[in-house]
Amino acid sequence: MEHEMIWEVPGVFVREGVVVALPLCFPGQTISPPAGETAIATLAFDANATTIYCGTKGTRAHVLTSMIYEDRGVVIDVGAVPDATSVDGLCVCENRIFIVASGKNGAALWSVAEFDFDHSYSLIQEWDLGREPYEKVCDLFSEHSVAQAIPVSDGCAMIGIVESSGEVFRVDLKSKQKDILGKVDKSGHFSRALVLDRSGRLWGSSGLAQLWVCDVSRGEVECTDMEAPAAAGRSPHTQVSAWALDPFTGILYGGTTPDGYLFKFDPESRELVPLGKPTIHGSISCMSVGNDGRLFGMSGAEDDIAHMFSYDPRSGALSDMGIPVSSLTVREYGYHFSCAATGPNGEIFFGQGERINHLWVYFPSVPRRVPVRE
Amino acid sequence: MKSDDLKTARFYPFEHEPVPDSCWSMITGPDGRVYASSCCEMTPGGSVSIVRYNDDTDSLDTVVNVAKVVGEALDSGKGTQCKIHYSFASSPNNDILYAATHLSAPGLGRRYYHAWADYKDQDRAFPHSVVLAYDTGREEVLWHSVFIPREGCRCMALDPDRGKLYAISYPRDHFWIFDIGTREIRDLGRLGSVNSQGIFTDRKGRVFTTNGSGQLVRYLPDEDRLEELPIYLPHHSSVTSWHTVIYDVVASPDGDCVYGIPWDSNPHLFRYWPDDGRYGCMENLGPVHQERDVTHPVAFLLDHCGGLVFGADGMLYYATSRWNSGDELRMNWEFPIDTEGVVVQMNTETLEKRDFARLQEPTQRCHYVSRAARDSLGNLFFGQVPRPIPAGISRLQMDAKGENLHLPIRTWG
Repeated sequence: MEHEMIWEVPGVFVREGVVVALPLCFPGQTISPPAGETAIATLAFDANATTIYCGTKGTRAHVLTSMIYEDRGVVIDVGAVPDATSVDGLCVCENRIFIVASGKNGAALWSVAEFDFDHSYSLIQEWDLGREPYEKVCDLFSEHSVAQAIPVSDGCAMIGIVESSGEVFRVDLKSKQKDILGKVDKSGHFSRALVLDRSGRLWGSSGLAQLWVCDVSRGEVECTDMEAPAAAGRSPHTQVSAWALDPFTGILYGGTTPDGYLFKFDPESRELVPLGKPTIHGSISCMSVGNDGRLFGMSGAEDDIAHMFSYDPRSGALSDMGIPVSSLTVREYGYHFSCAATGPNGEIFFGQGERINHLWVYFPSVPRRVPVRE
Repeated sequence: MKSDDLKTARFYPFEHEPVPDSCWSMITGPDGRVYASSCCEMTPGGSVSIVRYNDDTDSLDTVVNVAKVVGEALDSGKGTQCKIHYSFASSPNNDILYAATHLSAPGLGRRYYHAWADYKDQDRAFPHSVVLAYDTGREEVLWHSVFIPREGCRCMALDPDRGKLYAISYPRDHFWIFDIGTREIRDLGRLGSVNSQGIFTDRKGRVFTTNGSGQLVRYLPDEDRLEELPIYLPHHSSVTSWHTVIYDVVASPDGDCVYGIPWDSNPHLFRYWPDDGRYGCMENLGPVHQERDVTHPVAFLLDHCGGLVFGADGMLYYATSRWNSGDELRMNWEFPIDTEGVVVQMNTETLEKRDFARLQEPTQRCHYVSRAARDSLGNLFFGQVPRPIPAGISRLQMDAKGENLHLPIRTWG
């Protein structure tokens, strides 16, 4: 007897919570920057956490800004960063956005005025929105690119890693002083993903998937003997490709490439616990911890079809949530994501990293109450 | 609904096992004969064959069994090379017909295959599409090659002068360039989420397709650059440009412009002049279908127009579907309704249209035409996706006079 074909199986796409993709423009009024210039590489919030900034990479690099609340709901192009093909880090400090950006002439620190969404009367009735010019703060490296840079805890400096050399550097946003704090791996085998723990220490991976830590205040890089989990025999291929900090507990989560394992790490006790592999994909590309402590992330390399996953530390549940797809705004699939950040209401922003892109927002489900057993 | 005094096309069913369920592509070969793809898109382990109409025997010959040629094990359990979608391309410079394959059928023994969910599954996934070069003079496959890794080829165009094949991949909707000389393929990145069903070139070798927003995307070979143009395909006022991707497109006989039809609801015929101004000029030539209840989304299976071809008489022909008004509300995969396939003739000078021929079979609904072609005798052929199966092609005798009436040939699928 022939079996009937099954044509549809629910759950291929994310159906827990809601995913929306925001076009990188003021819908109906502007168009996105050109394709090939909008892969979102980094995200940062302003002090109120209501305005998000996106740094892109491609044939040119842009800073984009967005507010999704009230009558805003737009993405505005702050402009193409001069001489840059990648924005490697963003920091909002004292009403200015500081940008670490790299191009064919090396890396530099730029700044531009914070975008004032509150200034405009309305983004439904009528509006006035200006674009401010970029100002170069200082050159960082004349012949090297920066892989990633993140704000330090007090927000007045940025710390990062040089793409080619693995040198860890710090640049003060006011004094413009740049210091090389150390080098993470002499052989050049290191991850470009970085995270600051609650104590202000910088973490990354290098060598055979080993974690390194930089005490920013002392300017020392320590290569530890703690290893990120890897498939048996594959630690030489493995690096941490994504990090997320739980700001409430101080726990760090790490995701690896190329095999896509997840782990949690206590930077105080230095206890590392493998959590498993959330999806069939290799390469966890980005993650962020939501307001209730659940971790949300994306897995999949540039040639994959991304899967979203979640980890609930209370139950230990690790779930493949499905392929991200948007239908309430634009109708699009999301195939590769590079960065993630948590908004003030627990929504998770994901930066898409392809040729054509959107700013994705995931609104997690709110679990039903369950009766308390007597 | 019924149209009287029209010519009637004759249907030629495909005769392969497993029974083919679709003909997704058709083209005139460099030899002036018409080739079509006999596809098994819904049969586990199904494979595609290339067939050709034989004027002498008034029947179809199977000229390529793709699985045999490329050495594919149809019982591997992986998604098979089950169809050639809009991916034929004929060379005007030699006898070569290029063809690229596409996915959808599950592997043998499987009941389910999802292009997104099963992507990269090492046991089930479609491993890659293949491209082959069929010599229509020697009647043999000269070579074949791995084409797009892990994805099918939705549509394809040839640049015979640069020796390049341009393709759109499914499911990830990327733009690819294949070098015929080196057999290397390059990915230029993503276009959107809804595949264009058509891709074409102009006389400068520029390549045109659409993204899922109905926006023209142009590739400039001299600059190796893709760009989204501020030009959108026309659409009915009840819909937006979303999903208004190219379905079928044909060059005018003089090559100055193209005529096309989108893959959207209540599609509008368009004419595009690629050399007119910086971005070209798009004209809306109006709807091809009947009025309907616009508060309900009509199935594309019903609301379909395709098979654009110029006759030897210089008229544009296309196949369109008709149905009883109101039936569009009841149409779904399970519930077939009465339909009629009609070939419309359009005078592109005056834009006057008239019904020209019927596509019908006693036991099949033959309104869904994928592609069309004109052979060296000037007769027209239409690739059919009928229900119930088998699939096949329809031939319309045109009684044209002259030789080599198939020229100029089409270099895209």
